[in-house]
Amino acid sequence: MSSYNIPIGPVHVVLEEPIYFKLEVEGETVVGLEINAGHVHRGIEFLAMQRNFYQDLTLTERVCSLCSNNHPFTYCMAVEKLAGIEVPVRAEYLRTIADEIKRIASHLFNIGLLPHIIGFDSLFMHAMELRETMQDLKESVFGNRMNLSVNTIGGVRYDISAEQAKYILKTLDDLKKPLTELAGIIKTNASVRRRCEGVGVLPYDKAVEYGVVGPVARASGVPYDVRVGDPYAAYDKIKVNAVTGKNGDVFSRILVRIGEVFESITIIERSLKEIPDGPTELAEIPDIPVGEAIAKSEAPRGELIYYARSNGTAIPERIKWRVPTYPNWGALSVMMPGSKIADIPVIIGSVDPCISCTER
Amino acid sequence: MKDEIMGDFREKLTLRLGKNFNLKWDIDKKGVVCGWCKLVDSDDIYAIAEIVAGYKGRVMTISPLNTPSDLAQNSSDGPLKNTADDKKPINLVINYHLYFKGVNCTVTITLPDNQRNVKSITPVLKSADWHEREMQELYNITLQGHPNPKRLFLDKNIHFTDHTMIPLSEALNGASTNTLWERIMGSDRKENADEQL
Repeated sequence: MSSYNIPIGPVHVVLEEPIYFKLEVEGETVVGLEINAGHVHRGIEFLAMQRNFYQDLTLTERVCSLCSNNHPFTYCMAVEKLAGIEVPVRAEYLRTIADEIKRIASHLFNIGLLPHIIGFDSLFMHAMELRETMQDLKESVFGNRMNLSVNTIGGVRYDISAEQAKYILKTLDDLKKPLTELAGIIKTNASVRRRCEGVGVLPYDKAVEYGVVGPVARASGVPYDVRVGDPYAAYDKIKVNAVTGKNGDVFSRILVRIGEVFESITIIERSLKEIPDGPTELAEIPDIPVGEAIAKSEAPRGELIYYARSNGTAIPERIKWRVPTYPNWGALSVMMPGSKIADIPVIIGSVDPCISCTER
Repeated sequence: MKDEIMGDFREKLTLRLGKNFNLKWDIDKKGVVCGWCKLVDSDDIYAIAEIVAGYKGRVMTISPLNTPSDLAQNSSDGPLKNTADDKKPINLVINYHLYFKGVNCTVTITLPDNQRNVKSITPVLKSADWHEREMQELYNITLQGHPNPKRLFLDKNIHFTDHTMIPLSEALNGASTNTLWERIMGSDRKENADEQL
């Protein structure tokens, strides 16, 4: 049997962003994998240490598009922890609502992407149509479809009126029926199952060994969800059920994301019901003292961690973050070997990779 | 549960490192535990990695720092100057952010003046792999004992064929299909010919 090294990327139709895979194949079967990144490295981490703490809010929001809210959100939490700032309770709820709205939109994108990769484009359009309702919702409430700009150190820069709350609840309610339909098709359609079941398997022990996070880890049975394990914002007051799978294949990953969309809807509904009145941010801009802290959040792709260190000046001494896709790349070397060449894009897509995030 | 782990971790550290560490725990009002541990000897990071691997824990990230302010102020020559001809030593501090059994812990090592070698923990904690390779190229650190110390980002050959089999400029022009295919098929023929020889 002939063996070849085949490249995928850095520019390839199945990749949303540039990354380079060098695959070793024997006939149709993948036997080895090498990943090389760096094509969209923008040096944002270095830039963050040239700007002041408030300018970094804008900068961190631009690390990624799909999880853009989580970056300034987690950055703010790290700085607040460092400075001992107490965030108003209403702001904590508002942060939670923004976080979950972004999660639904991000997950629906990936849920749609997988049928697109396997050539089931009508289902892709169905999912994207549902996602569009979330995009409209974001535009209506936050004034923007991707970068919400809601977080600031010590609170949030938006509020939800009673009328807006009603609109959000109505939109989510309208989403439930078509979403159930979409979930039904994905769960039962023979084409989807044939291409996704038993493909790109990441067993539980390997998920633990590689330290993967987010839906990729939960689909392999690792139950860790930052919202449950290390609660932040209003997640200590609102119960979150971590959605898990057990097969660790592409199909389990998509099911976990579908489950999480429903869970996010419940979280937003509860947040809007329980949100207390009060201020949404601090009365004045706080100074950031000497210190260091870490903060974590559950971004759509998994655990996002920020480390912030201040030497008492306006410019942070060190800002470091690790995005959820970062640890998940390594696990591709477990998922890929043994699979067919045609399965490669499906497996890559199931990790919901974000290359801009990875490289910063 | 978290209390038990915190106690157990301290016990294990004492057993392995004696008094050569300083560990404190922060618990916020939502119950999130963050440990901060400073090691006296930078080589002890390997022992920490073994303890964390025993818990089936993982490395969340690694953040190196060049001469943080407290070290700069404690320098015998006064605060460090940032001039081109400055020959003052650069101290490198490396924070390993670890997660095990529901607790977060940042373990800090300080490398002696101008030292750029650090023991790799990837052999015991696979989750450290990419983080170590990244710090190797962004902070000029040499890893000892890393199983695959290749460059991760910003490959030096990024624009040339030995990196991607096809020049990036050709790929970006979308002109890769035939050229690339011929190259892949050619590589197999060459290998087969080598085998026959």
